[in-house]
Amino acid sequence: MDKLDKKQLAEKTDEELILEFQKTNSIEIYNELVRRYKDPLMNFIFKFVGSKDLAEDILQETFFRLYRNKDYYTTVAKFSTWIYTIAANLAKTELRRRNRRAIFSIHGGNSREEGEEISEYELPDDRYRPDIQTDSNIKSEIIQQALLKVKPIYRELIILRDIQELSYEEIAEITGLKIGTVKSRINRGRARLQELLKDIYYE
Amino acid sequence: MGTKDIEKLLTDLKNLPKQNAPEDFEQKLLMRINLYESQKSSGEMSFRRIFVNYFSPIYVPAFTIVLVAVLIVYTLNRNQFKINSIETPIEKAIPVVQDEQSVAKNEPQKISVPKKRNYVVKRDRLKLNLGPGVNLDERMNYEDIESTTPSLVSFPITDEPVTIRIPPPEVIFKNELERLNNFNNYKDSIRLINSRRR
Repeated sequence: MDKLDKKQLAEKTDEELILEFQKTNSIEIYNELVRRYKDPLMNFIFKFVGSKDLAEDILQETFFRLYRNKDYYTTVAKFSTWIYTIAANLAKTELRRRNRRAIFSIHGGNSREEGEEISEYELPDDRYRPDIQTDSNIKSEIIQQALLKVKPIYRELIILRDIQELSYEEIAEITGLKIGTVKSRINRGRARLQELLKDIYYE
Repeated sequence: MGTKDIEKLLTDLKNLPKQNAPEDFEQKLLMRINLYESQKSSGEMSFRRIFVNYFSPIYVPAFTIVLVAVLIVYTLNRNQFKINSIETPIEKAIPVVQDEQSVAKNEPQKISVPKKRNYVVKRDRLKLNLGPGVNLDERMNYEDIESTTPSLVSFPITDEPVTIRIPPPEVIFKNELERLNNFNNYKDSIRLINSRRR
C-alpha cells in the first residue's frame, strides 16, 4: 500500500478512514482516527466516570477494541456514533462494577434512590455550603461533582448533549433510545442537576 | 430557579474544562497493540492460524467420512475383542455340555429322575403272596442311572419292607406308549396265529 501522508489522511472523513483501515490494516490510518477522537472521548469518559485514571484506561480499551473489532463496523452508522457507543458501554460497565464494589465497602447500609450514583462522592462535601464564594475553577469542580450525582442514564445524555454537543439523532443512535426518550431524559437530568446546584445558581 | 438559571447551567456545562488524553496515550496504546499482535502471531494464536491456513471446505466431507469409518472400525474391533475375551471360557464349557447332551441322546431309555420326585412306598411283601425266591422285578424297565443306592438297584429278599421307586408320570406314559407300539407291531402275527389255530 502506498503510504499516505498526514495531509491526505486529514482530508478524509472518518468513515473513509475506517473503511480504508479495514482493507489495509494500516497503522497510520488507525493513528489518524485515534488522533481525531482521543480528546473528545477522554472528555466524555472523564465527565461520566469522574476519575482521570479510570477514564484513561477506558479510553485505551475503546481504541484497542476499535483496532481488534474494526471489521464489525458497517457504513450504516456514523463512525463517531460507533466509537462513542463503544466508549459509553465500557464506561457504564466499569461504573456498574465499581458501584457493586462500593456497595460492599463503605456504603453497605445506606438507602438511596434507585439508580442514584453510589461512590465516594456521596460523602459530605463542604463546598455545597452557600456561604462559599466560588471562582471559575471551583465552580467547574462543583458542577462536575454534581454531575456525578445524577443517575448515569441521565448523566450520559447530558454529557453527550450539553458538553459534547452531539445532536439528538446522534445521541439516540449511540444510546439506542428513541429521540423522544432522549429529550425527556435530558430534561429530567438537567432538572436534577439544577436541583443539586441550586446553591450556586441561587439569585 | 428560572430560565436564566438553566441557560447559565448549560453555558457552564459547555465551558467546563476539557479533559484531554495524556501525552503518552498513543505510545501506550501502540505498545498494547504491538503486544497483541505479537501474541497473535506466536503461541496463543498459532493453533488458530494453522487451522485457518490449512482448513478448506473441500476437506469437510472427506474428514467426516474418514472419521465415521474410523469410528465404525473401532466399534467393531472393540466388540470383537469382547467376544474373543469371552470365547475361551465358553469354549471350555461347550464340550462338557455337548457330552452330556450326547449321552442323553444315545441312551434315551435311561432317564434320570430328580431326587425330589423319588417317592418311597413301603410295602409289606407278605401281602403279595408271591412266596420266597420270586424275583420281584418291579422296576418295569425303568432304571435309575443316577441312583446308586443299592437298595433301589436290587431288591432285598428279606422280610423287611421293600422300597419301590415309582417313576414319574411322563416316564410311565412313555413306557405305556412303547408297549402299545410293540403290540401294534405284533398284532398281524397274532392274527395269523389265531387264524391258523382256527
